[in-house]
Amino acid sequence: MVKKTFILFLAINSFVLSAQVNFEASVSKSKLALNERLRIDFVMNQNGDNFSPPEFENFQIIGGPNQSIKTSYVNGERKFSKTYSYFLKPLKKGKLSINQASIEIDGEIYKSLQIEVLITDSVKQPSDSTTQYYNDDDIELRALISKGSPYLNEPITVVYKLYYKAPINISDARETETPKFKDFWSQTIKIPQLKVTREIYKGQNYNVVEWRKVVLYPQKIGELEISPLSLNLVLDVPTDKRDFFGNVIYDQTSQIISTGMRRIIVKDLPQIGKPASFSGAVGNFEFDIILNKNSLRATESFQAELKVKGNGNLKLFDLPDILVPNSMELFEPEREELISTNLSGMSGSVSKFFTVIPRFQGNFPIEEVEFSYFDPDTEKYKVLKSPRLTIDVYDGPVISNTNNNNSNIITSNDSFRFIKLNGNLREVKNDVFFQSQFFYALATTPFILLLSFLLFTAYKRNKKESSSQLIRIEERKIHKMIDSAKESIGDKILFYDKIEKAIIKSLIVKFSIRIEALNKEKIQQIGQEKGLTKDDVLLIIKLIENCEKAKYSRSSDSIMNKDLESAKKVISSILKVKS
Amino acid sequence: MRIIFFILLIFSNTQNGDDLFKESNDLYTNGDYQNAVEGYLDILKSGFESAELYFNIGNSFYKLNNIPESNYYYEKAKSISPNDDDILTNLSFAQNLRIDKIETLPVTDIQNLKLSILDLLSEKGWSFMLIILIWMTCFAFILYIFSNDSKFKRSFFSISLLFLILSSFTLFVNIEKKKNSEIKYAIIYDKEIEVWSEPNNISELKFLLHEGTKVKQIDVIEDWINIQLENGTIGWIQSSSLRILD
Repeated sequence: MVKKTFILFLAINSFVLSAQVNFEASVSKSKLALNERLRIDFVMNQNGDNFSPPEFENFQIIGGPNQSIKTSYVNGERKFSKTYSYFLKPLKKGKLSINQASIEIDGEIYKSLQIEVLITDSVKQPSDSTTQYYNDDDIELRALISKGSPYLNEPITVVYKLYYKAPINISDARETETPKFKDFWSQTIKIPQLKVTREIYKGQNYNVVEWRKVVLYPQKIGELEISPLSLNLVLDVPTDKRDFFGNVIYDQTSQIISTGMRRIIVKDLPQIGKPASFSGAVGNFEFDIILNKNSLRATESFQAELKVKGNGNLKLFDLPDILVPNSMELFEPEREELISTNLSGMSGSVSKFFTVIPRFQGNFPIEEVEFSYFDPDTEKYKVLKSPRLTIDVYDGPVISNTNNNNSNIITSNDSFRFIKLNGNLREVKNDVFFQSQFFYALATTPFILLLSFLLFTAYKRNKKESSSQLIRIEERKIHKMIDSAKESIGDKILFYDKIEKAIIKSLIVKFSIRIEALNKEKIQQIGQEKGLTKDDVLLIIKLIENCEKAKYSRSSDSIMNKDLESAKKVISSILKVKS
Repeated sequence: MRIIFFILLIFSNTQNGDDLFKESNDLYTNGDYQNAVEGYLDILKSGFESAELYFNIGNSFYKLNNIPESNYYYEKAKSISPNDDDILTNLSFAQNLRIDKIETLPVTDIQNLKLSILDLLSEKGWSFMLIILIWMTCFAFILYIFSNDSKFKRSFFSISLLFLILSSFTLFVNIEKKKNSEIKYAIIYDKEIEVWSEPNNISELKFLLHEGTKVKQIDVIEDWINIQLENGTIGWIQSSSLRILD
């Protein structure tokens, strides 16, 4: 029972199998590099017509379509398979899809499934070749980098060499991927004609072609990538067939060969000992300053040339500037390069020309200019200094930019003055006279003097004024006395007494004599001193005598009147006397 | 006795200084500027000075192409005798050597007049002038008081008034001169120095100055000096790169 069912099942199964049409597409690999190849097979198990392949966008058909039919009998059963194969080369990176293909079998159209393939960067050694008549070792593209970890701005060279050996011959080569030197300053050295040389590599003789030579100056520190160079080669490969004469028949095949991505590590220049004047020059240099004139007239021009000569990144750094005195006019410098590039890097000279016009006369220094560079061989910074030069400018104006009036007086053709021959030396005294104690003493003395003079004169005047006032009061009293004497004419004792008193008082007041000291001699003496006339003095004495006498003798009114008049006259002349 | 000895000592010192001055002059004339400078500086060290001495030092340094020193000593000479033609001429020679080109701010005519009046006499000269004028004023006033004749009295009064006006003007000049003398100037001695916006190295770098340039000192904080250039810009520099003119 079990057996029966099994046979039945088999029978049904085989019927089903023989009846089913199968059409499918398969790829040799689903992930491959840009420089590798892909084989796609479209397999069907029954014969069909009108095969239409997909359009293979982003692929290049290298081979195919190849058709193969396989028929086999297994246990009396016929097995059929028909295959269309294509060899494809991807044209770009990324996820690429191969569209459906279709076939018509027994009047019906069958379609294959869409296939996706991942394309990656080129690899150095394509893992598979469609035509494997030669070893992988037989052909190699190498990128020879002179230094794996250079300093910033240190030149490195990359030489791309194609190695191949018998039995392969190369009939044609084409660059499919050109290396890009991002973050490098690069210069390709021209190879006029490709030459095949022989070289022993890995212990075997190889034919070598230098495909490309590049000098690189890294411009960035860190890990830098050099993108690969890929070549599409047309190879003449021997087959195992021989022609009529027994010679090997060569087959042409194309292969893509690549260097792969290369990485170099760029070291930063050491920070220790980096001179302030360092401007990025790396290499080995000489530095010089050249003046075309040493002495010239003002307003003529001269040229100063800064020249750096040697090997290194000559195009990649700036030369220092010269410093000239402010009285010289400095024009924009011109740069001149005389550089040749070979495998060892740039060599030659860079010059910077400064045109300078001195405007005034004098002996002007051109300050020393410092140029520093990094020597990658000794791994040290080196500082070069130009000598300090002087320029003699004659025959021109001198600017006198004096601060006191700030107008630039140009004293034409004034020459540098000679030293002073007379020293006039004196001791250094840092004392300030203004507002010093001595200064204040000197400044205030006249005021004190003035003040004391004023005080003195004021005091004196005051005193005088007070005495003259007194005199005036006394004078009034005297006048009153005389007036009262006039009233008492007739009363002889009283009258003469009053007159006498008035005269004596006027003498006392005016001549400031004490009454005890009053006598004739004194009156005479003082009268003469004070400028009274002799008559007046005599009159005074006579009057006083008269007064004495008249008290005790007879006298008439007329005599009294007469005496009164003469007393008045005497007193007025006494009072008139200037004290 | 001791005083006489002291006076003699000073006298002999001056004598030595004069001899050294003459010797240095001879060295200068023969072109040996380095030794001439040393001689002049020895005189200065022994405590003597004069505008002529500073001028000769400046000349020697000029011949030795020493920009800051020559500028410094010419400025010193100028501060003693501000109107000496020789000093002014050679100072402009020394100023021509400087690298910095600083446009001076325009000066009004009034400022110009003021400066030229201030520079007529030295500070001491103006002070003596003030003293003399004060004495004259007082003297004239005393004469006015004591004269009896009204004609004399009037003229003495007006003379004393005139002197009073003159002396108050001179007092103003003196005060102004004193104010000016308190402003310190300095000469830059470093070949190249950085001028910062603040007194530290982390602030903004404003510009560079070179040797021989004269700057005005505004402020001092520790070892930083706030300076002002002749064109009015200000900044901070380290005091070690300056020498102050005092």
